[in-house]
Amino acid sequence: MHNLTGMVTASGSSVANVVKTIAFVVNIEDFPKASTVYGEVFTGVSPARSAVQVARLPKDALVEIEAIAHVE
Amino acid sequence: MKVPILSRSAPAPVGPYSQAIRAGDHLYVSGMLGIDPATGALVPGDAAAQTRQALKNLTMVLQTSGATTSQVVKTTVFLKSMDDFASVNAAYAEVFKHDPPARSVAQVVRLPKDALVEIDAFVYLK
Repeated sequence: MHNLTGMVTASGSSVANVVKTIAFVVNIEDFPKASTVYGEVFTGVSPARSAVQVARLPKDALVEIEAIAHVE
Repeated sequence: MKVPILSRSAPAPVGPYSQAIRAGDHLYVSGMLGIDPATGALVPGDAAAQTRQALKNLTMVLQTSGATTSQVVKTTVFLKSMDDFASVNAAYAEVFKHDPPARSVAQVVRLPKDALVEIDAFVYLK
């Protein structure tokens, strides 16, 4: 989430402009925990979201989050 | 401008996400599951039944946004099993009859609530 925040900020945007995300997780049982952390970042209007458990992520990460931000 | 959409005829969000977000001429809809908003549970039946309900929920969210399924430009269909592809496809085609949106389909390991199908959508409102 720090990386995501860094990237949208570097683009002159902010997490407040994120409108849609996809959360890829390797264990959906962990999702409530991940979702809580996620909610700490998206404190305003929450983006639309899709969530899926996948077989494997790059670098064997546990979570990957993709985001679309709407830049005015 | 980021406007959250909340349809009472679609399942209420159970986490930090909105059913959909409107931003300018675009609408971004969350992954919809085959949940009956009246019970909060997945509808009984197979992947086709869940697909019909998920698309019903999508339609309700679109309605609240003043949109229709004909304005959907892209969807992603996540399946628990690619073996359900044909039956999901048939149910999907009942809703997206003409000029269907661009689409991606992928089998995943597991979906929230152990659903069999999840469908998200991008909508162009013009």
